[in-house]
Amino acid sequence: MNLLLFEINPFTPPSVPISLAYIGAYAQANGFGVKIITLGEGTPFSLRHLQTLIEEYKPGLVGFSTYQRNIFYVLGLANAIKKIAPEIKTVIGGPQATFLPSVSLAQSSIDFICREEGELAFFTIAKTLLEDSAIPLVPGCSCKLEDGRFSDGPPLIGYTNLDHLPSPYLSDGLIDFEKIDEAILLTSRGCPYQCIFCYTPNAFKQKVLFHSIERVIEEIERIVKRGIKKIWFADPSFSFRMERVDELMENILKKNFKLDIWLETRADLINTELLKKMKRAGIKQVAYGLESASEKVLSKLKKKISLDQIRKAIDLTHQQGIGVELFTQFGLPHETFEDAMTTFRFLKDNQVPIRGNSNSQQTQIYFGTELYTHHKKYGVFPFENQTPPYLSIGDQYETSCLSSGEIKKIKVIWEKESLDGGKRMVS
Amino acid sequence: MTKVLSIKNAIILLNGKNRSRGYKDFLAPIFPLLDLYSDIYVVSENFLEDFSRFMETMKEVAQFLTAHKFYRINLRPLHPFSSSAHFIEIYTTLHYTLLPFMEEAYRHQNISRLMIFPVIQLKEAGDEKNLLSFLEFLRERNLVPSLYLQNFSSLSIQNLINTQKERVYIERGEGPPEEKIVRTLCCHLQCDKLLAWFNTPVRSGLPEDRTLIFSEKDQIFFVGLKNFLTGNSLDAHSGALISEIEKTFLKNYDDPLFHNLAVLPQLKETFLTNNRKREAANIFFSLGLELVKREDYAKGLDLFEEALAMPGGIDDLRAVLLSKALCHLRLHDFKSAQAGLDAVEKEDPTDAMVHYYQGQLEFGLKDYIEAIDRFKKAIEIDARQIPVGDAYYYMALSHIDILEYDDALTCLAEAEKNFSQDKLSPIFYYQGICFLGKNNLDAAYQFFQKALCSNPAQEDLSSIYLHLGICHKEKGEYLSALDDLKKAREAEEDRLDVHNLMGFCYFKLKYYDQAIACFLRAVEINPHSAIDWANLGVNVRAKGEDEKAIILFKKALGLDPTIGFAQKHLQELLEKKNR
Repeated sequence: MNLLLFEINPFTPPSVPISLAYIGAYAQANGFGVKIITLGEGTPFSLRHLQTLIEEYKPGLVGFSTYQRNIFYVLGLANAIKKIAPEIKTVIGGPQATFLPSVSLAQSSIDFICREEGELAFFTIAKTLLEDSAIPLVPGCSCKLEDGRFSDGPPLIGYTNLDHLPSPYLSDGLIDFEKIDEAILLTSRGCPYQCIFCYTPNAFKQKVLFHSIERVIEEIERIVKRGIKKIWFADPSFSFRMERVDELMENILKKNFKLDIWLETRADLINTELLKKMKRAGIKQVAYGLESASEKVLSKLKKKISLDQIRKAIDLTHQQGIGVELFTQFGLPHETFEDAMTTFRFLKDNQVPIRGNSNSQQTQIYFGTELYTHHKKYGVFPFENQTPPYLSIGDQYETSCLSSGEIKKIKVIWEKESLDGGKRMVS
Repeated sequence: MTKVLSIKNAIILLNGKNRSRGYKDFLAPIFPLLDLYSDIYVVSENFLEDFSRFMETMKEVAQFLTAHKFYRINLRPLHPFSSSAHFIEIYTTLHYTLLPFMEEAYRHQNISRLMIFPVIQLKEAGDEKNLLSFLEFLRERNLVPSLYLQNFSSLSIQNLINTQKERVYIERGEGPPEEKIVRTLCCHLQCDKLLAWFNTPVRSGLPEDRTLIFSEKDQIFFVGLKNFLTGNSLDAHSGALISEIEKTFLKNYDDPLFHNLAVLPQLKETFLTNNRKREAANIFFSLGLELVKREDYAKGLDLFEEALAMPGGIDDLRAVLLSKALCHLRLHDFKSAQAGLDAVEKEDPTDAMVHYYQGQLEFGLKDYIEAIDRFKKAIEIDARQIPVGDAYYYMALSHIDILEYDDALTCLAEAEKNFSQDKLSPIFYYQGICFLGKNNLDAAYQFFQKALCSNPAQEDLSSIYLHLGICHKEKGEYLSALDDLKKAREAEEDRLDVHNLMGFCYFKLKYYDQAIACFLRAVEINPHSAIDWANLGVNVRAKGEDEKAIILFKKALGLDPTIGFAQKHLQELLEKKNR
């Protein structure tokens, strides 16, 4: 059976579909045909393409990487696919799907909602369909019944050793090396912290799983061999185990890869020795999560980090000649306009240029976060604007401390000071 | 999968007063061919008269978007500026028509799937006050305006436009108004595509011209700018219109580089006017690299110069300088190549690629010892950064040139490991050369045969056959040698060395007439080839034509007095004559 995976984002250029590639690699290793389609701004892809693709490739199952920003387009695309071939089954996965209320998709063309590890869940659905099993309940998924309601399958027993999941970079045909100049790598998954705005701890049950150093080096070796020198480590907390990162850097140095690496980590998971080694291994930028430079606001985010720790990390990183990016947000619970300006000034005071990932953004409130579940407790008031139930609060709210007008004002101030000006419509 | 067409941009040229029939029928089949995110320009000389047609277009688009909720289309009406109150009414109506899509976007925390970006045409500067208030009116309604300037500088209106979000189109060139507009729009569209192409981390080939142009007046379609400019149209009434459009588009896809280069002069101005200098520099560099891939080093060099001249700076200066040096190298401008490489090396003496190119340069300058050192250094620094197979290959050639055949064989063995199977013929050929140099004729012959059986390039055939012939000749197998040499001649008729060797073999076989014919062809190819004049003399003398032989030996010695056997023959003939 052939499987088709879609990554659709109409607002940005297409990116390396790393999550889908993992899912595809697992299904491919288990005997399925897999094709990944990445649709971004400017991708040549028409309705005619879609028809030809469905008619010629004949997928039995189509999966979509889904998040708040693209779910509207995902549902439209799924609908179009069902019109072309009603027998095709559809599944959504990704951040938006994990905690999405099932009832919100009762009228949609979606047949399965993936709730747990995508690789296993997607493969299990495909296998069930292939075996024509009469039981629609699939572990790790919500499955649509004949009456349109969804029923949850039993929990999925996932791997504890991530190396059991085939690498997209070591599998054939999933990553087109000719078309990318930067590889995204995940050396670990999950996060043990409890930040109220983040869905990752809940999605991964606050566990962190790791790939072995050998596996990561093998992937880098393959990537480098294909002429790619830029690597983005997308782990949520890259240096959660500092001794492991030290070992990884050591191995990168031994291999003399000459890389250009970007990574994100916590400011309290770094020290001078590690940064020195990172610099030598090719780390050019480290992004830290600051969120807010107001101690009052920061302490209520359950991030368990102090401004002093962040300042120290910035200094140490700069001392090693590594660039620093800071993730910040505005519109956070308990944040006043003055608090937001404190964050803005913090970047300037610490010589962090406002561009790229250091452009601030309004807090997005997603399903699965503590902030979503207890938004009233945090003084967050969603707008009453008939948002469809498959969308979370997102940025459609004001807080007990900030009106929507003030939030807009903060956004404008950040945009005005941005060094890369944000995205422009002109050539 | 079957290659399928998708149209990124459509340009509709409206007709003014005389409305054509079937407009909707012409448009409807086009929508499924549009990219999921596409732009439609609607060009009107008189927007008041064309407004109903524009509304018709908009309704069609809205209908399509409602049925396909994964599409996003921008409508861009292009028309002259007028301070008439009617224009306020028109855009107020348009704004209201957009409301359902704006509401959908708001509810979904998204960008509207149908947007209008008016392009206001200005024929000359003036009336700034009215224009400014009109632009403000549009901005307040999220109808982000752009300006289209006809033959005047953007400087005079720079205070009117916010280039962070809005665009300035500058019309240039000759031709009828419609042609100039289409050319300008296509140029800007290509500019957008190049920017998107440059900014995406997942980069495929160069962006193609995926623009469809429809003339309402003539009821014809044009596929891409090139067909519009050459008048190569498709009849809108044709029953097979869609398949004809597809066929023409797919043909156009063949060479996107051509299209990008054709719009280049205007692209440069567009990038500069819209403050995209950094991107422009990088795009010129990328286009230059495409040209280098096609071995068009002169044009590639021009684009690298353009990239460096852009005031916005370039992301990877080292790569541009290296690429420039490569072009100089290939164009045999060794002095410029040297200067460029030295500058990069000064910045980073541990750059493997610089040492690799320096090796190429020294090879070009025939300083083979220095070339070998450079290639060795490049490999030592980081073999993964350089085309390591090529480095070993050129290192081997350098060793051959200084007669170090064992070292050359070692390098060729390394090169062989790094070359793909279909490119091994030259390796085998040079292995043959090495064994020939070592006087191991059987091994040499085997490698030349291997080179012949490994899909050699047409231009290499003659050399391979020549060396097979040499192997036979060295073993005294003159008839077999002639078999190979004839094939060498067939592959490349005007090779002096082939005719020379054939003449030699015929002489050894005492076929003097054939030998004479070969040497005559040799001196025809190079009248200054003293050795071939002398060889002619030898054969003529063998036929007993002493007088003729004396003339030929004198000719040979006149060109090169050091040819021993010619001196000997001449002396003998003169002595015989004087006896």
